[in-house]
Amino acid sequence: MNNKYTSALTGGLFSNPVFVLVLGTCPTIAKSTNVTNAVGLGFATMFVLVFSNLVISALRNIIPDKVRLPAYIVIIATFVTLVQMFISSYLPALDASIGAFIPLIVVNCIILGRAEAFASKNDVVTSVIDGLSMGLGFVAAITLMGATRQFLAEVLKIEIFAKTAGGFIVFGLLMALFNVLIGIYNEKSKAKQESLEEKEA
Amino acid sequence: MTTATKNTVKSVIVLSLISVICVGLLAMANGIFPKPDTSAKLDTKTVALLNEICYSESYDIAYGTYDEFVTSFNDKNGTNYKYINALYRATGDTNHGRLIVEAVGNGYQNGTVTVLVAYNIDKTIMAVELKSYDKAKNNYMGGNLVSSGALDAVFENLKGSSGNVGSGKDLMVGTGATNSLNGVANAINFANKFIESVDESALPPIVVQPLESAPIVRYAKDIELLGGQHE
Repeated sequence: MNNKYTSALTGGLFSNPVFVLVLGTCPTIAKSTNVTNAVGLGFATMFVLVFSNLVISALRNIIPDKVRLPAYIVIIATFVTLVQMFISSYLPALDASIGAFIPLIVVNCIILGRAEAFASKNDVVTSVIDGLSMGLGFVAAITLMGATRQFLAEVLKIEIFAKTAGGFIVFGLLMALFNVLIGIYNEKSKAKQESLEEKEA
Repeated sequence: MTTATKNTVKSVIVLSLISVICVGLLAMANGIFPKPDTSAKLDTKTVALLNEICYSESYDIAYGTYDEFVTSFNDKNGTNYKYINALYRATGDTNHGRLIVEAVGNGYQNGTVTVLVAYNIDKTIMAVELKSYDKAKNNYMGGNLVSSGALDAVFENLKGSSGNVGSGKDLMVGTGATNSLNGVANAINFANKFIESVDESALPPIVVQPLESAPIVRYAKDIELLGGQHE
């Protein structure tokens, strides 16, 4: 597979928006009190990320540099409004639970960050793959946070994990664990690469 | 025309075009997606709240004749942000004929608050419960008072009153709230105005339904749970 596609595809893991790039922390902590909220907000964000990447990448040569940020915001806000309409029409229970955070997806750093750093510089297919990968990375991270907090707060009855303070604690611990695992993987890959190079030499 | 001017004109045109296309897309989507159902329902939350303020074995909801009555009042007195959502009647033996009004009032930046107000036979307030409020404006809509429990004290003070209960500031006894109770006050005042116009004898007779077919039966668990503390 083309190297740039592979890079875009694995971005959600090795450059995880939540645990590595530390973007979108506010909704991650606020709405990861349970798995349902986390999955709902995760997929809403992923939808916006994929489609805003698609449109921004397609229009990258048309949008003048001077007005690129307002143009990106208008495009992102359009997709966020569509998601909000869909959720309030078909998923009223989810709307009641995470409704206030849906409009805030517009200012989620992951979306504008990927638009500015990736979609505006790459072709449509790669940008969509990047949106999918980063979106899935966000869904996985926020769901993991939600599941952990729900388990600690509801099964083990440690109430602090249902509150914001508990969210910060879980966020810090999971981020540390994630980065340790990624570090171990990278070291093993490096060692494997070096041994291959030695054999070839 | 200089290059700088051309670039500026191009920027304005591109941004305007993107905005127009986005607005068109949203207008189209607005026509396609069904509007959220905001009609009054005896859902679990409403029944639980009704049981909190005025326990009964069953409730009669503002369907049919009631609906017409409520709509006519809203047409004359309501706005988009201030209206009566439903009129309930507790139809159980204990609270036969008791009326509960679900009213919406507007507060900070026209954010809305929905309250349930139960009335005594003499149309004084028996109890008040907050059903929902605009969470996007949280503390400006009384959200801080909900989490601190201070709203319960405000509602306790309203028991036995009627007519205009004043503005948010008049309700703030001991809460330190300023404008955050304006939505709640508006909703209660509107409910009070509505109840004054209700002639109970003009309401249709209560149809006694067997428990199995009454809407409340779906929430039998709620009744059972709350029954003990209200009996």
